[in-house]
Amino acid sequence: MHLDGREIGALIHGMGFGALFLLAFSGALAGFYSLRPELVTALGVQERVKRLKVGVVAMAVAAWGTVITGTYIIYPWYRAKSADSPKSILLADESTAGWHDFGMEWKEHIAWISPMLATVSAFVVLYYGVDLIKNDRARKIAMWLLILAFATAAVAGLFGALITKIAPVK
Amino acid sequence: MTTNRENSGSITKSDGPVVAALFAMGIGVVAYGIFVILAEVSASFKTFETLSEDVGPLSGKTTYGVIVWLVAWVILRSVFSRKSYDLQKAYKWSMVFVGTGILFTFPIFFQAFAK
Repeated sequence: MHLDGREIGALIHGMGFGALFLLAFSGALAGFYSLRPELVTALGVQERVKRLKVGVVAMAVAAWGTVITGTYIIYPWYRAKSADSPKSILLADESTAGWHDFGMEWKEHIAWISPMLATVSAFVVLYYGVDLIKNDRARKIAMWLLILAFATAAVAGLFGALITKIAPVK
Repeated sequence: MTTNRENSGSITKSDGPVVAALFAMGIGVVAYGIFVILAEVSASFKTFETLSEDVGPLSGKTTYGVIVWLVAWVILRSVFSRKSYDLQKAYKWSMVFVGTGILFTFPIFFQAFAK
């Protein structure tokens, strides 16, 4: 059993930061949904908001980690000029060229929108803190920003997984 | 500094800094989308955006987009710390900007500008 440098890089990008992003999203979404006066006690709010802060900050950090490692570690391997790079392999065959021309082009660009959205969502939670429970509008805005951050990352993640299946970075 | 009075009657924090964050996010995402299109439109822009040979123009599109976002955030933060603005309206406008930015990063759209 052996993993080379590129496989480890891909693991950090997808399974490290990517998995943390997913995990943080689930926790934060549940936190946002349940942060309503009728569902929590005054003491409970403190604890819920603390957990929510950890969730949204973790999601933002994971989103930045995913795009930075993806762009500066994985992507250069993907687009290398050598004939055996994933990009060269995909473009060499007309039946797979669309995976680069559409799939990879969309993935590499849309992915960078996710950390901006996740950061602003985290900022809203950190800024209002426990006041978020009294400000339903701000809570919903932060929650929808988080969902949109997840949706944009999901597009990138889906194409990343499909492209890796067809032409893995080796 | 403005304050926001909620249904409970208690006074909460000003929405100004969040309004600034929302607008800056919208501006940043649209700017990023414009940098994506510019790389298709002009070869000199593509070169300008190639900050790293290994990464190609994506390095500049993302770096410049993030810089525009952060600079806009700093400027708007000072503007909206003294000004009140409806949070819901700011959110709706920011979503229009984000939607436009997402459209600009859609391959079929930005590749239509390729020369």
